[in-house]
Amino acid sequence: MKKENSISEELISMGSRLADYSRNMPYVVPEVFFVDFPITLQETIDELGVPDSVPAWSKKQPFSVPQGYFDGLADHISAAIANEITSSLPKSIPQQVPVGYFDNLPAQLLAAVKASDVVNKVVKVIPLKRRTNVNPIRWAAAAVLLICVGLGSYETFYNRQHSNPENMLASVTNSDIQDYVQGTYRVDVDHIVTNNDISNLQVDNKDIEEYLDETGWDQTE
Amino acid sequence: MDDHILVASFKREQSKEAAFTKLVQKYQERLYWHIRRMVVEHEDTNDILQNVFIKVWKNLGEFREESNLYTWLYRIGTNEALTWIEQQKRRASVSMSDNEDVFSEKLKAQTDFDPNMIEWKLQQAIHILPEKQKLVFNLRYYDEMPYEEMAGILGTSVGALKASYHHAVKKVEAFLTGN
Repeated sequence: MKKENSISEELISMGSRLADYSRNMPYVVPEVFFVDFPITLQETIDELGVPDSVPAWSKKQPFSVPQGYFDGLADHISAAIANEITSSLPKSIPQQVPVGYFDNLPAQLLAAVKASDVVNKVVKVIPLKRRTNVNPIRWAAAAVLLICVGLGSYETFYNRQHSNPENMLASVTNSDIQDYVQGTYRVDVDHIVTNNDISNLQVDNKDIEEYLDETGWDQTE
Repeated sequence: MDDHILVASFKREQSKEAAFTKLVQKYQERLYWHIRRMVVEHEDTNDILQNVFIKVWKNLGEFREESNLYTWLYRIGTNEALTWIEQQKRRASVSMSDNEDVFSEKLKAQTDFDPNMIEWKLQQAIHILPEKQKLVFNLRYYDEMPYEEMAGILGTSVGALKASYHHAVKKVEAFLTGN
């Protein structure tokens, strides 16, 4: 071992007596140990099958990358993923309408309306919870009912004046007719009715025709 | 042979084994004594030394020469020796405070041991030191290693190493003088 003055000087500067002591190692080493050691070491390495270290090849990548490639890569990939998801979704609505549904719907609604007449007689408390499960058929039946009522009302009140004249004339009372005739032609209606003789009536035919026209009697009938 | 040339030769397939042999021949004694001063017995030193160079064989191809080869080899040797010592202590269930007794017995079992000889006394004194302080003392006192180089091996600052060496010297002196 090479003995440098610096070590001794350092120990002296510490005031240590170690500066005066021998630094020889007292241990015994087997003869030719250091001669044989490299050989035995290589044999050990061969026996253990110690793999070679990683080849010292260049780790530099030879490929070039377009400028700015990595800057927008994340956004590009996200957009591509989103596009792939939406494009794979079907365009058509998967729900199917039963065959003949719309053809049979009016009859079904009518039947539902008739059935609802019975149902409506019973007062029913519908909880809010069930409102989410409202049957559209019932709503349609109620709408049809309203329409029918409206049509019926129209038929009854609006077309009354266009009804059959005979029915209208039949609705006039005998006393009204007597009052009219007596007031208009100064004729004793009671006498006529009792005697049932009208030959002495001094009524012009033309007046009779005018009367009948005014009351809506048609000559052609 | 220069260390750079040795490393470069090792990295070439055709000269790998020859370079490795030369490297072992160059550093085997220094590493041997560095380890033996730690573990005392020759057989244990031989086992550890072989482990050190097997690691060198595996990793020298990746050595980037950011530190010099000598420092790198010493670092491997130090770690292997300390690991071995810890394993021995665990097997013997020996606590840190019993360190002195373990190595005292090993020293006494050495060939030609003589407690009157200053060299053996010095070895006894060194083995009462904690492991790291023992390392610092051995590297400075026997290997005459600069503190800066020692810092690269042990991962400790120069100032801390100087303080550790100073305390180690005082302890060894106290043992030798019987205080």
